[in-house]
Amino acid sequence: MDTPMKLQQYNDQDLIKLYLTGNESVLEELLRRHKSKIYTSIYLLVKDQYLAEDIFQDAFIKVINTLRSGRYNEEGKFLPWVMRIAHNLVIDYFRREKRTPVITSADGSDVLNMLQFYEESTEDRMLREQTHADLRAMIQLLPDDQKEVLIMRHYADLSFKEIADLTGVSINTALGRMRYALSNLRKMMKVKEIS
Amino acid sequence: MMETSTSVNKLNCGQSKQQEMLTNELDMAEIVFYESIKAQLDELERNPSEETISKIMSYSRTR
Repeated sequence: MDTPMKLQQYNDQDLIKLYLTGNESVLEELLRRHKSKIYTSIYLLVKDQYLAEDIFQDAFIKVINTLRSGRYNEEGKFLPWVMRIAHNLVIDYFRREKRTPVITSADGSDVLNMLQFYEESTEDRMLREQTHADLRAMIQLLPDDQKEVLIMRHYADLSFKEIADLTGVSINTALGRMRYALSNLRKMMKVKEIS
Repeated sequence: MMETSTSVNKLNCGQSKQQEMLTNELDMAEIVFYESIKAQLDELERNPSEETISKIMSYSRTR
């Protein structure tokens, strides 16, 4: 059986081939490699931890089913493919909900986050949490198409070509949306600094 | 809001592949601003729960 060290040396395509031979630990490595990118993207789009967990799980169930059925196209890259599945699930969710605003859970901070900063002073922690909350709020204030590109570019690490393919627009449109997103974030940060 | 086409600004600063790709696609002011907020954006990164990962692994084993 491969050790985790060895699995880290494989690229995604080779891991998938190994997975299809029945090596279950490969899926753990793929999850370890990409879970943060995929989950953060979903979370920032749906703004709800529990919903994001469900969508993340559903996305990987689809991934497993597709891989097991032999329908995975080896030409494609793994991460953009999973992101496409997750993105479609997010769209399906919003269609079902008819874009009803999602109620966000408290401030979104989790236990691990709190443990990591246990030595911080209360004041520092509050300041950090406020900064995170402000940035999250600013991202949420962006128009949906700009927010989507920013999240997929930064968190999912997709190229503009991949984002364009995924969202069905031209590369220039995807790039224009990123520029507007950055420009709008900069304006919001300026206003925040002034106030 | 109007969307514009994109000018290509090529710089060669020995950057990482990701930075190089961004450099080729966004202009300098945009890159500088993006770089300045990257760390803050990174801090918003989070992971799914271990329970969710376990459920996915269990599902995989049953297939």
